[in-house]
Amino acid sequence: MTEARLSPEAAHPRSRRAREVGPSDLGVIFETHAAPLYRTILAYTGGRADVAEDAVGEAFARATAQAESLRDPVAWLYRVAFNVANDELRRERRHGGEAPDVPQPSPEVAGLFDALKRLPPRERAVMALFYVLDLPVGEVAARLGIASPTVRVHLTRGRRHLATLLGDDEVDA
Amino acid sequence: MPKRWERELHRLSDVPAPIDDIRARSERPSAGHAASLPPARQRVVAGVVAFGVFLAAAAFGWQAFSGGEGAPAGPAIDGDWPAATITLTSDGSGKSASLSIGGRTQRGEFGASTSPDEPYPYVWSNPQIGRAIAVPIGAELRVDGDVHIKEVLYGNADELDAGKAPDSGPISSEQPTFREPYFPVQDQTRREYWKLFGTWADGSVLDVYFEVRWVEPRVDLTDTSVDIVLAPETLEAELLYGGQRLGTMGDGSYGGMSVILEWVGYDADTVYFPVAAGSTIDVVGDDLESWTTRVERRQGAESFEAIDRIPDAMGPTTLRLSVVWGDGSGTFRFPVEIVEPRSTTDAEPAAILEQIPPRSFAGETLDGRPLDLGDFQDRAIIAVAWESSCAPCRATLNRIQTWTEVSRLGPVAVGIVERADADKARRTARDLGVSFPNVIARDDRDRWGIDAMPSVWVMAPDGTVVAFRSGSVDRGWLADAVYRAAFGAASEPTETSSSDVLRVRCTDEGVEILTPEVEAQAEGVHVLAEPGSAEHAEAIELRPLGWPMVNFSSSSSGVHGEFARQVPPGDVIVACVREGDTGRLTVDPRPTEAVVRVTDPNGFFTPWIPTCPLEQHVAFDAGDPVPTDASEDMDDTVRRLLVGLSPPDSVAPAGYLRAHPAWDPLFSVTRSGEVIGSVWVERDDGEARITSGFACAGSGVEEGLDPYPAWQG
Repeated sequence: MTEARLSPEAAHPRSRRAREVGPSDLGVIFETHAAPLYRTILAYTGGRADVAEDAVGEAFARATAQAESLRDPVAWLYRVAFNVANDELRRERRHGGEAPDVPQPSPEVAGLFDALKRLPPRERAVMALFYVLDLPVGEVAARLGIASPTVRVHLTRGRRHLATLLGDDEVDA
Repeated sequence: MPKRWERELHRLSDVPAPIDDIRARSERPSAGHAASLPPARQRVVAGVVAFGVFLAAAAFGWQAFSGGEGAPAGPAIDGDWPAATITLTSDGSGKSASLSIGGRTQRGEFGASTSPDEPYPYVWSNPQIGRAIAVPIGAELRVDGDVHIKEVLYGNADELDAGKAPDSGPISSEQPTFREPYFPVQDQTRREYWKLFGTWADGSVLDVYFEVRWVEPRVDLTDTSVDIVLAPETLEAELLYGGQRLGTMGDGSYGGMSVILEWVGYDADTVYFPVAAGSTIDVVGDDLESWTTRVERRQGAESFEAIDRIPDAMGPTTLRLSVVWGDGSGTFRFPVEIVEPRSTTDAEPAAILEQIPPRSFAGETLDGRPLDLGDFQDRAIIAVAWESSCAPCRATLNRIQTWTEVSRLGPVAVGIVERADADKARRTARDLGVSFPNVIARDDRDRWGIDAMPSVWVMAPDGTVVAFRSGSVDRGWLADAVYRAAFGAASEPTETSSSDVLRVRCTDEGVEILTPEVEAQAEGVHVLAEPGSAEHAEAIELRPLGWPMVNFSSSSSGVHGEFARQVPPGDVIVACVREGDTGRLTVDPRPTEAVVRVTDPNGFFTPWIPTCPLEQHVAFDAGDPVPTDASEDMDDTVRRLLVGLSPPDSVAPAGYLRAHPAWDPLFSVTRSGEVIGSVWVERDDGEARITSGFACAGSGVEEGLDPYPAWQG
């Protein structure tokens, strides 16, 4: 038995116990998380606002239908939204590219979006959560249901990929 | 200063979101199919959707669970959902708890209070079966007893151990359910903790902690078929399992006559698609002339050519399909995890331990020699009853064989076979390379008191059975059992893992390996270094087995904490590194070695170990520095440093350098397509120099060569 396990602080983090989220709280969750989730999916899809909007809306629609069974609605919403967006992008690829009426991103971020699209899905997800939402590694891991070390590996790869694709130019903070 | 792209990514956090449109969209019915499925399937769908983890879905094609046509229910589950009942009772004599799964009961023990100020004294623990209780996926947890449960929390036990676990609950329910594992259902190696808070009948605080490890419920996967349906015109392949579509593979590119398709979303550290050993393989498709399938062990060399049936369970691997169509050929790669045809849960220890083979079990071995378990006094023993026709037995034999080879605890392994099966068993043992003796039992199996093959006992030197498993065993189970057999149940079990987390501790005796065997992906060994007593320890070194010790000091950031280390595929040595007299970091002279097997299923790494035999390597000496600056291509710098080679046609950062450029400036040197040398390059303030390196003899490099003078600019 490790010391960490026996530690009351570690084994029984009181503060976490106050994090109650019930089905009736979906409205609150929407107000708090819909916009960040949209931005995350926007980055994940490489600027596909239409897919992001649909994925986030669909995620909340499914959450509403299954509210009683959700333990951690926020993490669940992220996974479902990623999933829906992934499905849509894959469906488009199979059927010959993007829909013709896809709104084009502004020129200043077009390069970034193009580069993001070339990242593997998981890398994209990790980069979006880490950089767009500014989440710590542990929280990114929780949202994606993967281990923290894995998140770090993907962050490393993602940074390397984006540096390759977009250059190492630095800017003033 | 941040990179430009970092700032651009950050700026996305200010992008206005079309909240009204999203709200309107969310108020329309879900496009998913979950709500319209039959109740039984809907349960599955809800569970998988809730915790299915989008990446697992992407990797497996199980995305259909969360929407899309033809959502499969997964492999058929034999029978009803199993139930897990926790009974909590308190009376005048004290409080107790028991957990019943599938009619078998495991009684927990409550520890002492850890703090008088914190009413959290109750820690579920059953030393006979280890900390993590095997719970069938889908088991419904019922809490029995005159108690009031107010809250249930759950989460990642490994992270809790590390003191950084965020609880993933709470579940506000009087009747919490096990139906939604926190981890992906396929991940049977990870521990999940549960905490129940409430009050006992006497009004005192109830706080129960226990851990579960998810196992497959009674899923009968025997003889299930794996069907691959090819559609060459669209470059797609569908994988069906047991007649159910599990996903479509696409996104391939057609290059002339050949096409290589990867599973959509394939990623090395995602969970693989489970198929059962023994499943038949069939490939159907239009215009298909021929096909062959192979399964490649992640360990490397072994493969099975032209199989038509999934071979023995071996965990995550790659199913490769080569096809010839009318107008070309192609290769498809499916990430699959080959699992036992029928999983088992931990048997109830008390009842079965009475039926173990006695320590004096004796008989004749398959090679005709007498053997008596009594001969192995003072040794820990792994005994396995097996038969030649069972695939899980072969997998278990492989694991036990491996374990006896790598374990430092010196267990003796003994197999037990039936006389009627002796001839076939002899061939099986030979084919599998089993080196431990196998006794032909005098009695038939009906009298052994076991009901499943294989059955595995682990006995302490004094004859006490410390662990029993009816069914195949994994390495974690073996490691834990053997450790307890060797050091006693009172000792803390060795942390074991079949994951890629290596737990180590630097002590005065060298490096203590807490996970004796780790199988890692090439993308990184995750090292969790615990505080130890070693003085002056600076780093923990990971280096390929057989690779000479060099100044490999940058392998970790220290001796505490967690870090990821990328090493090339192969076996890896682990050692503590200390500061030596010369000021250079040197390997602790008393290292304890563990075998870390690193695999590279993605072909991510470029080879960097010279292909010539190791003994033919000659060493470089450090050369004079070559001026360089940040704008100079490091590859060119290294090439200039290496003009002594005659001549290298390519110098490139080795595989893991690309992943971690700041860590290991290792370059591979290639000529005519073969790696003929590797060098470490130190960069310091605008100068670069080779600090050490190796090259094949005869490659134009002589010992002591100073490459710099030959540089012509």
